[in-house]
Amino acid sequence: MWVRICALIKKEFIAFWNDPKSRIMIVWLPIMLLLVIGPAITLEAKNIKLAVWDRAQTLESRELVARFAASPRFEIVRMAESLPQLRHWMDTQSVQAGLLIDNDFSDKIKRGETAEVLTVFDGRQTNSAAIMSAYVQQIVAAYAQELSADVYPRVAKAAVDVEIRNWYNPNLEYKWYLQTVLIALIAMVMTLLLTALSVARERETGTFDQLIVSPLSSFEILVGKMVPPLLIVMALVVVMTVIVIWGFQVPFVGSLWLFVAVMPFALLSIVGVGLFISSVVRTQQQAILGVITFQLPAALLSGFLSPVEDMALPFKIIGKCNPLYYFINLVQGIFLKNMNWTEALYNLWPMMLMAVITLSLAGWMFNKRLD
Amino acid sequence: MRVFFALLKKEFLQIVRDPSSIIIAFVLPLISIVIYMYGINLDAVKVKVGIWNNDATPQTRLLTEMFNHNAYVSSVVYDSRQKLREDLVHSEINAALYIPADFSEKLARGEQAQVLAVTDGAVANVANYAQSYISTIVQQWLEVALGKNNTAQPLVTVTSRFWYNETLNSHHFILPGSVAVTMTLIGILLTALVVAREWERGTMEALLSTSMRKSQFIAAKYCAYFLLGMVAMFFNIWMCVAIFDIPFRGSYGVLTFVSGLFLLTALGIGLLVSSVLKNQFLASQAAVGIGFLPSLMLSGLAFPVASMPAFFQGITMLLPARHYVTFIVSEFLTGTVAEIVALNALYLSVIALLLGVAVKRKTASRLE
Repeated sequence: MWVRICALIKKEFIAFWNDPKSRIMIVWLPIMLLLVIGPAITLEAKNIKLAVWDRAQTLESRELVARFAASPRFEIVRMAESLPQLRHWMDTQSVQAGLLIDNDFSDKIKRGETAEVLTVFDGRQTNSAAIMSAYVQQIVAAYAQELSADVYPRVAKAAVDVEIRNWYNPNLEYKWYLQTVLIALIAMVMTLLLTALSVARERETGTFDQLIVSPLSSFEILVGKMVPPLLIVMALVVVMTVIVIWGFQVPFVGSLWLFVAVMPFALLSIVGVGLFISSVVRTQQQAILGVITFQLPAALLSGFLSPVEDMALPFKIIGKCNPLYYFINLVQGIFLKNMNWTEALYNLWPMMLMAVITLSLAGWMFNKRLD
Repeated sequence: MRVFFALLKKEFLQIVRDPSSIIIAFVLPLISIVIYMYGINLDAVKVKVGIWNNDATPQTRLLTEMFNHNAYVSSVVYDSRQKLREDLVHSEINAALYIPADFSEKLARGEQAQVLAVTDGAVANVANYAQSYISTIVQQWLEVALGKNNTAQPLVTVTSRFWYNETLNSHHFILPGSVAVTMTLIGILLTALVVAREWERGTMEALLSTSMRKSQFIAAKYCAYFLLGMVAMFFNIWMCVAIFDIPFRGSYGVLTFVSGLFLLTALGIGLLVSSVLKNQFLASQAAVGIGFLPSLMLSGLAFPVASMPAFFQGITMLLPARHYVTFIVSEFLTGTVAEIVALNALYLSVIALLLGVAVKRKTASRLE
């Protein structure tokens, strides 16, 4: 039995490896994706192009504008002279934000009243608009506090100091999070591509019939189809992890052994999905359709764009039945949080369950096709 | 011309006979738009805070109470510091707030009291929200607990307004933007396999032995899948406007024109992949690899392009989805802005043209 399985595994490896174009696809496509996407993405807003319309032109207003100019997040690109002008710049995306200071700005401050400044943002970029607005609040609040200290030096201020510590990622580098997520995402895409199409391809070229009439049992075919993609993606995960650690400088705080030990079991659930797709479709076009129909919801609902806990109930359920959700938890947990064995098992068992179900279904479908 | 129409007819028959291209064109937009609408929400993230209160006074009880009065924050009070720590490690909660024993006492003396907030920084964006929610709630509590007069009135405040999307509803941005990701995928998938399939099944050899010209062959492929793709595109946009009520302030003529250009680029990528690789297995790998992740991550839909390092911003210029996202979001929310339409249409035409030329060069007109 093992001799037969080994022969099949060898044949699968040759099929993946002998074509130079296929080699390029397996090795360079995932690495390129990681190298191009990894360093690019961030949710921070930087270099925000700001237009200022300072109608007050006083010491205080200039001081406030200077605060924005000094901030590394903002870049004052234009001085506006009217609202339509600002509107036009915003329409054409020459600026992303506008700061409007009214005539009576300094008068109000001197009278001890609250002076209000208005900021407008380009709401078309919804996610950065909210972040930009938070930055503006911070800058204005800091300025207001200094002004108060000047104006009322002796007012006793009862205050609460909220000391904040961020575990695992002290400066909240969003990239650390995304780059570990990216390892899981790319691993999933590659696993599906290597497994879901493999049987469909053999069916189209007719070699699957030859496999069926050979002495191989459906279990042996399953193992033979399962092991090579698993080993290839394992190797890819290791390479991507090395790139993320040394190339992107994300600290790996967990146990490398644990990481390597859980990876095959975690990947098995996705291999199972791929082989299941492969066992039900007849052509490669249908197989690729199956891959997309699984992969699109799996990636979008895995929680990296918005947390699974916030989703509407049906989507939350889909999210919790999603192997990628647990896969991301595992990669990110071991990478950044030093997850231990018991916590890893907690994320691993749903994936194992999925692997058992999908692989049995796939084996059963192979069997059915044998009749 | 007769040859062209014969080829076109052949393409349509293939589309009709294989249900999978019809499924790609209609089921895929449906699935993805439902996911973007109900599964993704970039507005504000809900945060769960665990509180350990070592200073049981009415004042701090009010503070812990206030953590339940916000739609985006929920809280759990812990008796055991150990358990709180464990739950934070296991991501059961997103942040922990520790109130020390001398908290009320210090405040009563008019000193600065301290609380400690610890967040689960591994999920950086949620931690960011947790930070600012906690600081805001503590500040609000201070005003309530001590009375407004005892806290200094700020001399400058700021009001924020969001043009084009006044309520900052992220779906107004995500749904039109998602058309770019969905249509990249559909356009590439529809065409990525078609030429490769002809090679694999040997029908390419049959076609090459006829009097067909290369350009007719390519034009027929473009035409057939362009029509199918445009139908899918309209279906997708129709769902945004009619079913999900996304405001549309632009012009349908402009939208159709630029969407057509964008579709041509996606079809071009698919045809190029297909004619270079001549193998369905590799072509579909490339299609999914090129089509899905880059258009989702680098188009500006999920992550702002303006914050990327300059070099990577340059790379995104090569991505048709990036130009289309900018265009379609603006067309929906602002209306037709001549500069934005012209610039993005120009980029898309250049990319479409280059791809078309590459497809023609790479389509072999004879057997090797």
